[in-house]
Formats: sequence, C-alpha cells, structure tokens
Amino acid sequence: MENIFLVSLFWDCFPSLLSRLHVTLAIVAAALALGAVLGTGVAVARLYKIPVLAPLAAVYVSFIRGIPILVLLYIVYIGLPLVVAGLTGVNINRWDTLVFVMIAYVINVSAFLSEIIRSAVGGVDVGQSEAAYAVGMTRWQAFRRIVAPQAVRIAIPALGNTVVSLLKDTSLAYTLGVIDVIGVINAISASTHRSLEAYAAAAIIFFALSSLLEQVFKRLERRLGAKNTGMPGQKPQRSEIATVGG
Amino acid sequence: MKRNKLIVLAITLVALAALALAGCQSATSGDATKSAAKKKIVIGTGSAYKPYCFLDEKNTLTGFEVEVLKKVNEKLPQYEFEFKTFDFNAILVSLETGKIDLAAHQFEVNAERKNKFLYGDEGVTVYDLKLVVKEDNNDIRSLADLAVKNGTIEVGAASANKTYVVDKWNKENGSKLKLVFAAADTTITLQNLDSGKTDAFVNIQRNVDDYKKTYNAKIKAVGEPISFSNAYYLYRKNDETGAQLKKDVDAVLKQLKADGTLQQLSQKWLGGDYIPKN
Repeated sequence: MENIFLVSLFWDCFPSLLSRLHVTLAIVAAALALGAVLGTGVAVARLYKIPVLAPLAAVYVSFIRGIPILVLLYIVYIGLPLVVAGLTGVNINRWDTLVFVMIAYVINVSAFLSEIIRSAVGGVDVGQSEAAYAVGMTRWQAFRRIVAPQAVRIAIPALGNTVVSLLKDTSLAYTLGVIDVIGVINAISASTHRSLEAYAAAAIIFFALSSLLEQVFKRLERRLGAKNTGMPGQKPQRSEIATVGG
Repeated sequence: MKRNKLIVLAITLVALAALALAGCQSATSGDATKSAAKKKIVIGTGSAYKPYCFLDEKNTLTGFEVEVLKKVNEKLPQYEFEFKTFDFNAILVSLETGKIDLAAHQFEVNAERKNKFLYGDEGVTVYDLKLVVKEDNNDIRSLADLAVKNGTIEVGAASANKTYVVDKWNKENGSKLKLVFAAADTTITLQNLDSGKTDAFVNIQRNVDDYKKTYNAKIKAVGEPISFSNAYYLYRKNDETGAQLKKDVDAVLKQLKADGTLQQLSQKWLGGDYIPKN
C-alpha cells in the first residue's frame, strides 16, 4: 500500500464534492426552517403549559433527543410510509429519498431548537413581562416587544452550536443513498479505490463551512449584544427597554 | 421592530432557499416521467461497488448492473426503468417495503433471502466466494483452518450473503470464529488484514485480482469457494408487478445470453466472461 496520499487526487476531489454540496445545504436549510417552526410549536406548548400538548411535547423532546440520527433516518424512511398508508391509504413510498432524509432532520433539529427557544424565553426575567403588563401591553405585545428580542439574544450562541452540529450530522444521510458530499466520497473511493484523499477534502470543506457559520453567529451575537458574550468593559450597545413602542 | 422583521425575513429566505434546492434535487433525479403509457419500474442499486454500480467522473451512475438493465429495458418497451441508489443494507429493505421493484447489487442466493424475495431464474454473474488471506500465510485454506486458531474474519455488510454464509458455518461448527463486519472502505479491509487485526476476509476471485493490481495488496484467495452462487436480480414476493417483471426480465436475459450481449458487457466491465451458463 504505497502512495498513501495522492496530492493530485486530493485536489481533483474538490469539484466533485462541491458539485453535491447543494444537497447537504438543502438538508440543513430545510431542517432549520421547518425545524424552527415545529420547534417553536413544541416550545410554546411547554412554555404556556397547554394541557395535553405540554406533556406530549416534553416526551417528544426527550425521545427525539435520545435516539441517534442514523436510527431516526431509518425509522422515518421505513416507518413513515407505513404510518401514512395506515392512516390515509396514500402510498408515499415512491417519494424522493431526499424528502425522507429532510423529514428526519427536521424532526431531529426541532427537538433541539425547541429546547433552545424554551430556555431562552424562560431566561428573560419575569419582571420584564410584568413591567410590560403594568404599562398596559397585552400578552402578545409583551411577548413580541419585550420578551422575544431579549430571548433572541440569549438563544444566539446555542443556536450557533446547533447549526454547526446539524451541518456535520448530515453526513449520515448517505446511508439512505442520497448522493450528498459524503455520498460522493463513497463514489470516489469506489471508482478510484482510494479514499483518504476524498475524506481529507471533505474535512476541509466541512471545516470551512463550519468556520463560516461560526463567524456569522459571532457577528450576530455582537450585533444583538448577546448575553454571556459581552466583552469586559463593553456595555450592551442598546437597552431593549429604551426602544419599547419605537 | 426592525430587528424582528429582519429575523422573520431571514427565516423566510432560508425556507425558500431550502424549497428551491429541494426542487432542483427532485428535478435532476426524476426527469423521466413524461411517458405515461409506460409502466415505471424503480430499480434499487448501489453507488459504490465498482465495476457493478458506481458513479463515474461526472457523478453519473454506471457499471455492469446498470448497463445490463439498460439493455434489458431496450427490449422491454412497456417498462421505463428508473435507477435509485442506496447504501447496500437499505436495498433489500426498500424492496420489501415497496420503495423499489427490482434489486440489483450482485445478490446471491441464500435460504433467508429466498424466503423473503422472489429470485430471477437467470443468473447475471458467477459469484463464488473465497477466503482471502495474506500472501505469506500458508496455514489457512478453509474456514475450519481458521476456526482451529480462533481466528478473526471480516465478513460483509450486515445484510450481505458472505456474512450469512460465514455466520451459518460458524454456528454449526462451534462458534470459534470471531466475525467482524466489513469496513465501509476496501482500504481499511486491506489494512486490517495487513496489520493482523483480521486473519482473513471473504471475496470473489475477480475482486481479489483487482485489489492486488490497484492497491498492490499482498493477498491471495485460497482453497475451495466457501459458497457457490450466481448473482441474481430480486423481485417482491406475492406481488403482481414483481411476478410479471421477473418473467419479462428473465426472458430478455435469456435472449441476451444467447446472442452474446451479456458476455460482451461482462468482458467490458468485469474484464472476463463471468456470465453463468444456466
């Protein structure tokens, strides 16, 4: 096994890997967008202690957070069509595999996002809402104008972590046959009989993307004056209270 | 309030981007849906088993399995074959649950599979499994030799026939062998044998020849095959589409064997005539 690492092949891997990057990004984007909607619903059910839904939401979160994504992928891929066929008689077996992959990641990430949202909203001092009610705001106004902006600040660092993990977690999607970046690695190693080069190239691509996301969230934190990240001696740029009604 | 709007805007943009990208994806994978009169047949295969099913430089699916089935489709105008790629372990599950109609990934016959699936009558390739050891190893020529040493043997994926064959033999002969599942990658399989983590692995002669050439691997296939089987196409059992499709594909395969088309494809993709005679 000579020539452990072929530099030329390493460079050649980038175009092929990047040509399927959109699949990886589509999974991340769909999981984040729909996961945020689902996660918000779950968080609201728990925050407002909605009867029946709140305990269900709690079980959902602990269940989904407790199962590995690989397992969830196969459960969604094989189990969901059975459930849907049983309930509605519709056969969704022939849907594109990517759809099943996206559904699995939406479910996974929604559980994590709901916890971030719940803790962020819970982290806003009760006095803030009370003050808002005292000046005559409705519950919705108080949430939208006072609680939500502060909650977003608290949520940003944790959200950044989740997005970066999600990006890397998509590396399991290939097991269902989706040709994303990792799927291409397998294809390259099958056709060239070499794999270290492709894995190394993928490492660089994922690292670059993660660093980019890290920077984006760092900027976001700074702009929103997120808690826990304030540099010593630097005051929060603006007080949210001052902009009430503005 | 500006900030809230920005956040809403950002989320909307991300959602739209996701949908657009998802749209692209399904457009590229399902572009052949025009002819309504033809019956669409979804074929499940892999994307990482050269020379049978793999992606070429342009990420297009090709290989022996794919090209043979394309030829078969030419003779069966009532069908339209669509290829879908899977990880090996997901193919048979997909056939069972109705996600695909035909499984093509050099599937050999074994009792467990025969219970679950309908096998084609026409074999596609000869697929006799042999024990593979280090070139300088002269002690091991059979599973029995390996068992005496309580050896470690690398089998295939969980659902692979070689896993089934070795596991069955092991259980019937005192369970002395230690089985490890195949690594995702041939490089690791060869490294493990080289470093002594495993004492042997299982493969077919033509793959072993290929590994020797492309990896410069110091290995050899030894003894009599541990399993004799051809590779077949698999269909769903107790299913009208499956039964009819099997009949049609078998008839064409017979024809393609008689006129030498399969032998030519075997020469081209596998480097020799590995088409079974029956």
